Amino acid sequence: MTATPAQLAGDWTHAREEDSAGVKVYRPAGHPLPPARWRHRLELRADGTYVDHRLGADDRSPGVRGRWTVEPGRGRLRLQPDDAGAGAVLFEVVAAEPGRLTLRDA
Amino acid sequence: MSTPDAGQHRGWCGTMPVHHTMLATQPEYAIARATIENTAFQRMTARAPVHEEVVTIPVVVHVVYRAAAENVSQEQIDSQLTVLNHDFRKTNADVSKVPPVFQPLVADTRIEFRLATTDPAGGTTTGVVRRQTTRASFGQDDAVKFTARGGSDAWPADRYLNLWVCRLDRFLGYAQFPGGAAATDGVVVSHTAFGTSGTAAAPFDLGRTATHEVGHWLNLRHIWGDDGEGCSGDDFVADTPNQAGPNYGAPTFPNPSCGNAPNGDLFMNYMDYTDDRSMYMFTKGQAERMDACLAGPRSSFVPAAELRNMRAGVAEGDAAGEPVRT
Repeated sequence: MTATPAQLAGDWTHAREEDSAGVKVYRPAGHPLPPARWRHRLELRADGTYVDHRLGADDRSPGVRGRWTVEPGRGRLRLQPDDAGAGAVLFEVVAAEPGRLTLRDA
Repeated sequence: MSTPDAGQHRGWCGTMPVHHTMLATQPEYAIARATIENTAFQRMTARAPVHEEVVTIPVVVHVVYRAAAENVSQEQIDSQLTVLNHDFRKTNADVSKVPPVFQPLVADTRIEFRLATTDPAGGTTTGVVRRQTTRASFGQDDAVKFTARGGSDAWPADRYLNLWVCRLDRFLGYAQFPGGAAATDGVVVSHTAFGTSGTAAAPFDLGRTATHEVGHWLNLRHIWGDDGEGCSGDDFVADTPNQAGPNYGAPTFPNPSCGNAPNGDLFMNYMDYTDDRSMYMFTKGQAERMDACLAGPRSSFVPAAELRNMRAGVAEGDAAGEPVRT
């Protein structure tokens, strides 16, 4: 699908219980989820910046910061870290519904 | 692991591990960590002697609470110490569930834990510090480790394992590897994942979160190698199979990844991310790595005679600069 930035902006947490083959389902902050040792969290802020809360070796989630965009035409979500040495991360947006974001590795 | 394509990565698996980023941005920590890893590697290659006597670690439990329910009972604290002792001594009842093919790997680490009986000033103590806070919850920023930030100050890290219990946002627990600051050294566990009674809630109500975090405190890495979902990460332990990402929930054996069939992942290991009822073993290789930690950065917990035995045959300077306690 071709998603718009307004559809994607939000504070998203991985609801792995809802995943299906090849796709990952994210729910917004406040959505009730079972306790877990760790869940990936992706903050896509309205100002175009993001914080990617990765899994740390000590069980914490250090944030990787950068800017996010929706690629024109292709509709892919692109995460470009501020660290110039780090490559961009790309996702295909499978669905962007109110309260539910579905991504697939691009 | 994905191959970068014109500076881009597909999904998360090709990105730089966070731990490496931390090492790159904190030089002093990076140096300490490198020394500790060199020590562990040298001990492994020198086939250094393992400790023979049981090493007992004094524990101080800091209970930081606002609501009464977060002020966990002595029974709940005792239940956590019991789990730690069973898990590290291979006396946990569920160790019998280890698949036969992995049973030769199961280790008794000969490490035990007891609540401290002497406080830092030399007085008697229960080993439990209870401190009421105005904070509704704590995050991953170490605030719980400082009285001035609504938490409870650490006891000297060379004499005690500091274990903080509180309401944690989004996390069940987190740890600090050896080599970090003494003021924040220890492990933090959510009161909902602490011990086996009271506020402990399924599926994290068998005390395994603390077992996992104390594993980190003794320098164990995640069994999947902390490379996201890739197959190139390493936990620096020889007898654990290569594994992609963390396992969650309650997998069934075998659960293969990274070409490790037919036996698959060692998902029943304490350093995976499975539910409490699905993790029930350390390996002998992990025990050796914890031994290297006890011979080096955590040597202050080891009696002098035992420490001399552990260092016998290991080259001078391999003990991370830690003096033998007399």
